[in-house]
Amino acid sequence: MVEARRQFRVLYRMFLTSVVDLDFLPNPGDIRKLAIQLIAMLSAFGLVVTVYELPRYSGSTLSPQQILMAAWGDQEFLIATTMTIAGLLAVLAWTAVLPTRQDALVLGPLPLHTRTVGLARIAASASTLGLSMAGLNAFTGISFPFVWISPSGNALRSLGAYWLTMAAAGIFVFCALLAVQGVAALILTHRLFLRISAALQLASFFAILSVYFLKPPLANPQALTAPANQGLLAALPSFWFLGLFQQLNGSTHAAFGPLAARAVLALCAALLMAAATFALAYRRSLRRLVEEPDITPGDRVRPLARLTSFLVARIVPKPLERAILLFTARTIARSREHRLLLAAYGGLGLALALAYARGYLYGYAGNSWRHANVPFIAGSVVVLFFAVIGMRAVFSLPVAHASRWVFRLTAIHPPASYFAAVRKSLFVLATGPVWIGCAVLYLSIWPARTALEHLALLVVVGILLVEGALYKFRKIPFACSYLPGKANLHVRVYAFGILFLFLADSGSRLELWALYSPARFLPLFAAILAAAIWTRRRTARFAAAPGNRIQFEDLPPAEIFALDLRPDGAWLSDDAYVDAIDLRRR
Amino acid sequence: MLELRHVTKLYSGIPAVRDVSFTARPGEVTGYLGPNGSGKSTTLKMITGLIEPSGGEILFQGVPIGRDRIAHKQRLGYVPEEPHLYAHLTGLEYLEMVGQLRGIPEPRLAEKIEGFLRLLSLYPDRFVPISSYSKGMRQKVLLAAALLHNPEIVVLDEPFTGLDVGSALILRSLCQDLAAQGKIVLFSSHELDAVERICSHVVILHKGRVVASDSIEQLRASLELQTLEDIFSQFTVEQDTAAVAQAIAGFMRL
Repeated sequence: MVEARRQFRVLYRMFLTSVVDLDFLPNPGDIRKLAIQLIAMLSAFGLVVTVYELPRYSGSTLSPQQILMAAWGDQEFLIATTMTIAGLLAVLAWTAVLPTRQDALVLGPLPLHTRTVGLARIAASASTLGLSMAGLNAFTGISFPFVWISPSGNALRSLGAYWLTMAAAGIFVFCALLAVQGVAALILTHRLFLRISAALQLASFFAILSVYFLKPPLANPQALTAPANQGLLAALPSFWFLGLFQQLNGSTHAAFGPLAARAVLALCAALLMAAATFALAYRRSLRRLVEEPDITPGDRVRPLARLTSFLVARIVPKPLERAILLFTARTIARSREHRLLLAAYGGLGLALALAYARGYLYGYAGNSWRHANVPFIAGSVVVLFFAVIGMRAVFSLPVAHASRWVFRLTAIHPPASYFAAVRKSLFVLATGPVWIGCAVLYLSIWPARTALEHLALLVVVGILLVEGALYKFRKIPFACSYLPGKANLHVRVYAFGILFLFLADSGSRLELWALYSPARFLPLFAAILAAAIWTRRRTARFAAAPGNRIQFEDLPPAEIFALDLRPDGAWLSDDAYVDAIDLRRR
Repeated sequence: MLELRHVTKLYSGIPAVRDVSFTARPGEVTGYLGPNGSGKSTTLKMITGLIEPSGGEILFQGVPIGRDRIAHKQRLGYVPEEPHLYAHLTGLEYLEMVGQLRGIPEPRLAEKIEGFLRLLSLYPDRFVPISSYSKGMRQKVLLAAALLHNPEIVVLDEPFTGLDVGSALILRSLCQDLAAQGKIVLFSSHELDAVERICSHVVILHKGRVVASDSIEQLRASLELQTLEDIFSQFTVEQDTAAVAQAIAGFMRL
């Protein structure tokens, strides 16, 4: 018993650092840094919500009862956000809950009970979930309960209700996704499970984001009691847990009883399902991992492979560009981490675009979608933006970082050729599909001239985004090491993201105003085209700069910032790779 | 001719390779030997340009390799010690990528790759991801990638690791054939038997320093020892191996 406890502690510590499978980090110690960064980001979100929302309650002249009713929307928002974060965490930890081949081969021969290993994994996942939930609600959870005290309750009850609800909501989502995976592992063969599991992971991801952004605003007395909404309420878990919070907080509103009951029932069902399926799937997976190989595709469909090769050779005739493009496409298609990160950006973009068009989805915006309109214009620009920045972010994360020596050893072309190949890859893989999708959509629903005008603008905006995203980018995708927390990249992405959303909204209004008049459209198009040409020239100038080189190592943040007056900007440490500096040409 | 002159490599001030000098000539197979941690791989990585020496010079035909790194990379083929490959690619895709990165024209590249895959018995598994390959298969992919562009210098870091007997025999003959074509072949290995059969010249490294550099016949004659294993042990093995084995068995019983 003592031995099992000791084993549990050792395994728990080990699994804690591998809850989220981050293969691209070169140093295992960086996982802790990344975790702290993520929890800090979640807490910062909570702080912003608190600072923005709380003054509405403290300065309100409404009665406590009226405040409580007005607060339903905020409560539902916080519950939904908590559930979304828990869901995203479960998606990120997807591969870490069931045993891996490494577990089977390394831990298998050791005198360990399967139960001990499984429990340690669950405990590690639960700790990560708990920490994330605590981080997210750190500020809201100690402020909002004190303004949401029900007339029949007190501050302590409100505080308890808040934290209990958030914990229950998070556990429900986590367990539900665990159960989905457990069921799949039980009913499918190992090889099929590995294939389906990746698709399930992505589907869960999109489902979570779509529900978060697309759910209708029903957290008010009229909507909650309207018979027409009961079906939707029964399908949206965030409202069940709103009901639970209200019941725990002492609300007597009739709408909350059934919702709270549904929340409790769903929580119990998810817990039981997760426990049962996970336990069975864990034991079964351990055995199958050793007995059956991982995905081993047989011969690809040759005509399809030939067609792909033919098309790629036509689109990208230069061998170097083809090598980079194919490597990029194959890595995104086959690396789970990269695919997931890209899906995060793509899903967010798609969800925001759908949120713009929510009025059309729920049918209260009529059929004005047959003509150019702000939601559709903004939606396409938002999707394009997220596709470009998502792909650019994914490019920075290495895959099998120990294998990048092959790029170093074959770097026989001028660096500008590599940068051009990366640029082309970004066009083909990020903007290309969005342009094609938009062309099909807008040409089929809008008048041809309007659609073509919008598409022309979309092409120019795409060029602008690609050139902007690749300015000073000196890496081959996936072939440079990654140091988390080096730059405030996330902060910059969020800042630019917010700025872009603002620009997309106001820009779409401007475009709509310009679309039906050539006199307005042409100057607008010319202005954006000029900006695109300027960014293109700037990127080309940078790429062709003498002494420029491909970057294979991400540099740690400098404690002293040098003026960097050396002409080649060389970094000379023991492991620096001095690449392609031709002294005779300089 | 590839020449190392007083090459030193320091990691955070700690020397991994100290004052190493030797010459690898075209038409010769040079064996680079040494115990674990003696600095063999570090030296070979410096020769490939993957890491920079802290001191000394590496010259090809009398010209420092750093003067034209691109030309150096074009004439170099390298098989690393660890089979680090992009495991999500198939063997065929990996070789295509390397060939394209090296700028080999397309029809010739396809022909070469098919030939290599067939000769190295990888053809039936060309569409299988490298993640499913055995250690020996990965080693063969690395070997094919290193030879794809017909390099003048072939640097092999423990190339026999994981190879089956047949493949190892092919590699032995290949090294000799490459040397016969006038190429510089430099390889490190712990397989002293193989080294003894194919190398015309050996360099023995110990604790980062060259302790012997000569032809095997010359070393045998001067040291009056029969085998390369005896020569190697004389220079590098400082422990009483039987006593260490006994001590390990003793610790097991603790």
